[in-house]
Amino acid sequence: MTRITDDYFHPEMLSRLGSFELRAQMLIEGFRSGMHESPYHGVSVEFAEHRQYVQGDDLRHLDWKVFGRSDKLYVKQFEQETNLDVVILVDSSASMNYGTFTNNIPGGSNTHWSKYDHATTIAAAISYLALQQRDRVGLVVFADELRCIVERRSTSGHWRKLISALSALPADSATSIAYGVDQTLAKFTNRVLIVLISDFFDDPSQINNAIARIRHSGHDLILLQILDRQEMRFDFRVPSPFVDLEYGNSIQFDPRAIRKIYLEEITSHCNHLKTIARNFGYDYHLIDTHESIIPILRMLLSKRTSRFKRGQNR
Amino acid sequence: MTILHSQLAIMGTLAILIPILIHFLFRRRQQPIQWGAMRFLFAAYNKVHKRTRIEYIVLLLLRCAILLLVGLTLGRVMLQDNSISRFLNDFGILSTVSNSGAGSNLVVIIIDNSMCSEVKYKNTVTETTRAVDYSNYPTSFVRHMIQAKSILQTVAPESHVAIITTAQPSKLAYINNYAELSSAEKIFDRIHSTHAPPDIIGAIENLKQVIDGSIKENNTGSVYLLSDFLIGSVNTEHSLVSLKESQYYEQLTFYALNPQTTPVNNVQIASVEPTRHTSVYNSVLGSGQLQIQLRRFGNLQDKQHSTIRVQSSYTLLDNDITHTKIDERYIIENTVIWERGQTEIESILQINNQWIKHGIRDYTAWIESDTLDSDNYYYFDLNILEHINVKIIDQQETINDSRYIDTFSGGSWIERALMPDDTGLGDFIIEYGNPIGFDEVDLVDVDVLIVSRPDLLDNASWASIGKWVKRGHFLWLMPPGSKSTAQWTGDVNQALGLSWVWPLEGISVKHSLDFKETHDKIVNTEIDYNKASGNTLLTMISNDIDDLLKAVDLYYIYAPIDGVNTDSIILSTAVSNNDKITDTLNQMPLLIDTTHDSGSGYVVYLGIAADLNWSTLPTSPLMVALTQEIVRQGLCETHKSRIFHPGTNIVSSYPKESHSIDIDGIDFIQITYNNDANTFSTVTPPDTSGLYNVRDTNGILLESVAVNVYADSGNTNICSANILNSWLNSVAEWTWVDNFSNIDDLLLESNHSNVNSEISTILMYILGILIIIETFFARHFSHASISQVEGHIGELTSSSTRINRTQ
Repeated sequence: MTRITDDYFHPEMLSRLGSFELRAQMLIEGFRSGMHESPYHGVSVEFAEHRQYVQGDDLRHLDWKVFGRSDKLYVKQFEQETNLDVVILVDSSASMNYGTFTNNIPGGSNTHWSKYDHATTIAAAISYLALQQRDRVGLVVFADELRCIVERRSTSGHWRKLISALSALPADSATSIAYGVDQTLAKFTNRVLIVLISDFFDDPSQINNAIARIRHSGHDLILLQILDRQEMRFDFRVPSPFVDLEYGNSIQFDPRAIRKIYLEEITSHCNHLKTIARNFGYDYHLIDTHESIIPILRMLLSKRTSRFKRGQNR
Repeated sequence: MTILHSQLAIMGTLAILIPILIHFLFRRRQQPIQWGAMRFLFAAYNKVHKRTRIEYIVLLLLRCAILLLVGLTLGRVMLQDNSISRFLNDFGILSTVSNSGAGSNLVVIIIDNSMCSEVKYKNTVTETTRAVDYSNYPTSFVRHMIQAKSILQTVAPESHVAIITTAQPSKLAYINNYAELSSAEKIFDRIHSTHAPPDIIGAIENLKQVIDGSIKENNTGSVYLLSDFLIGSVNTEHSLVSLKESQYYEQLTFYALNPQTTPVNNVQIASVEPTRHTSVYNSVLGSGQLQIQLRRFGNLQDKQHSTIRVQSSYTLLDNDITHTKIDERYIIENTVIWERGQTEIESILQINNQWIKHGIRDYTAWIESDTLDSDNYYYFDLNILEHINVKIIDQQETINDSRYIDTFSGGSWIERALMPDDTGLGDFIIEYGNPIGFDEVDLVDVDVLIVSRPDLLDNASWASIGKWVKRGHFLWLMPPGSKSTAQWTGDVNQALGLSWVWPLEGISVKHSLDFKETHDKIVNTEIDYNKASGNTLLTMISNDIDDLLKAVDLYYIYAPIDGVNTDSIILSTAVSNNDKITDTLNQMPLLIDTTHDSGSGYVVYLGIAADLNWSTLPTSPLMVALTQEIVRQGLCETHKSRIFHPGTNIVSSYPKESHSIDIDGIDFIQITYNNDANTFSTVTPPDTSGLYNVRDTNGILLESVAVNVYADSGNTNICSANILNSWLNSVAEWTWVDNFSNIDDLLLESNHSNVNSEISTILMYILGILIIIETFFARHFSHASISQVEGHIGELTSSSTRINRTQ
């Protein structure tokens, strides 16, 4: 069921907030206010279940009270969460600067909402959430090279560093996910959760190789593909010249004539990306810049929790 | 292939530019779009751009073809008869044009626009006999034009159309590759009924020319002859050119309107003949009469009256209160009664010029309006002089520095004859000219020059006189009595343009003379008054001349000769019969004239000298009558109004110096000069009657020319069917029809199955098919695929969580 509070986190509302920091805070506060019904809780303090003692269990976990009442040995089991390292990779290539969502503010200037805006907002929100839960959060902004790296921290002031890094404008260069991933992996030795936010307008084989290396390194990965709605619909009707944001090439054609093939191409690309993610056991999400961010945050939190449980069970 | 409405077809063709322009306009004005997912666009573009381009071209061609076909369909494209159209026609695809003219490659319309085509009538006899206002009735010509236009409505494109008029001279308008009605209508607008006589002969010759030039093998033609075939509109007395020997005669069909079976009542002025074309102001003898001839056609059973009116074009003098006036103009009138069966009537009207200012005066005679108005008018002019200035050249004697004329000289006798009462009053002012050094200055203001002593003039004087005569003046010559004529020079003949030679001496006449008119009297005297054809010099005294001649004795005649050798005088051939006015029984010319044409003067030669022998008064009164009549009528000859007819070129014989002549009232007229005949003539003859003034380049009036209708052209009696059939069938076999309004049926009966077919129907089929194809392509070609691939969006976004916002 959709809540009314979700409307506050729709790009239409977020785009009106001039301050990026304010935007992210509002997003998280709104998100948190809606979490009271969540079945998920903090791990270190919550009792989970009892199980019968087997040889080899740590005697410190025996529930002596139960033993005193029933003369049976049960081990007390807790849902205990260790701190998580989250590294967010944000694609800042020129193609991320595309966006068609425009918020028409009465009496004010029009606000343009690009894929990069959407991506950085999501990144800020994730990092805020993670920091709230004492997770360490790192940030990598990349295009064809690494543009900005923020080391992992869990301190309360770290979020401002992250926000500051995300406030940078996207580059004019092309995307190189493989390079960004490689450079990032070289800096982390322990196991981290990587959130890769990009439009993934890159060679699928390169993307596949990059994900394979992440998998090989034992990291967890969530792929968030940000696409503008126009990129998904391509409902231009007038023949116009199209200029490549990344390379500057241009072609002129009738978009109606090319639309079908274009949609097939981009759909194929997205499906291919989804398949790659699935093959490596990672999550993939396609995000429309015209849609609200809250659902994707909720979904991410759910994923994180379940993944944490899975990891604990293992 | 021909297009009926070419303008629509042209618009359709030009409409092809619309999609092309749209294509280029859309390409030009769009702003570039910054795009991120370019790799997919490139991939898609590489896959589809060739196909898209082809689709574009196909669609563009389809749309252009549709617009073109719309234009051609609206323009009514016609296929001429050929194997394709026949093939299509067999399958019922073509819509054959259901009219007739369309079946012919050549359509010739011969339309009667001669004077009789202006007849207005009803088909009931009784109505035409009463006084009916005919002004509201359409003329025969108008009805024929309607018929002609209905024929043109049916003419197929690419046919050849010829329109021939029958008024003299027959004219031909030819339209090669007839495309639309408007082009023919422009020609029709220029055709009008005329006052000219019929020229069916010329029309048939024009028809033959058209057929010879237009009809080819496998072509067909239709000829339509539109006339009422009244007697006045045909020339049945002349034979026509036969077309039956024409190579393609069998390919032609000839239609003619049935001739009128009801005669049309019509009264006309056949002629108006003034007895004096030139007269003297306020003179009894100078007034003259008008002999007006009326003719009647049609129903002659009833009594009828006609009122003849004659009106001058000038305004009356202020003090004239005695004459009838219409619009302040002088009117004389007379009413005549037609008896049953009477066809001709003559009316005499007295012209009283007592109140008329002198000068050339135009007159119109007319009768009341009837079924045919064109012949109700007759135009003429009269020349009114204040006096007749006569100059006599005779021998003069000088006594005490004063010159005198011998009392018994020829000049004296002439003066006495012109002014017999010695009062000095009369129509003539007489002046003597000195033969010594006589030149052009002496001829200023002279109306008539009488030379009684030609032997005294030298060559220079004759040259001056010749020039004066050729400017349209009257010269009266006579021999110098018994005196020798040997001094006369041959240059005289050349100077005066005479065809005969002066006699050297008189020939003795041994018998008494008695003038007779040859046409009504037995010639038993030695001098025969031979009234030459058309010569009116002595007409006024012809009834009295016998009595006048009784007391006259002549002894010598100085007859013109054709040689100078008196031993071999051949008198009979010296003067042509046309020039003779009187001659003796042995054919010696006595009174001759030389030049009749106005503008080149008039010379009269009297073969006897004015002397005591025959001119003594009062015992010999002939001298007075003869002299005065020669002078008066001789002057009339030089100022005679010349009559032309509509359809005939006006010819003027004024000297070459005035070679640029404007003719009033004919604005389109062109003048040509004939060097051989020394005449001017109009290139295009006038086609309406009226008075036309010929002026020189300085605007000075040279002469007045009257153009009057041919009386026979107004004959509105019906033509005998047998005569008409036989006359027209000498040209071709005609099919007679009542009218051409049912021309479709008429031509369906024709054996000519050559068809022109309209392919609009098949074009519409093709157009429909093309529209369906275009619609299909437009929906299914890649450029129109937005609605078709909407599903991809749903599929693509299905993996993302979508928010359905509720408000």
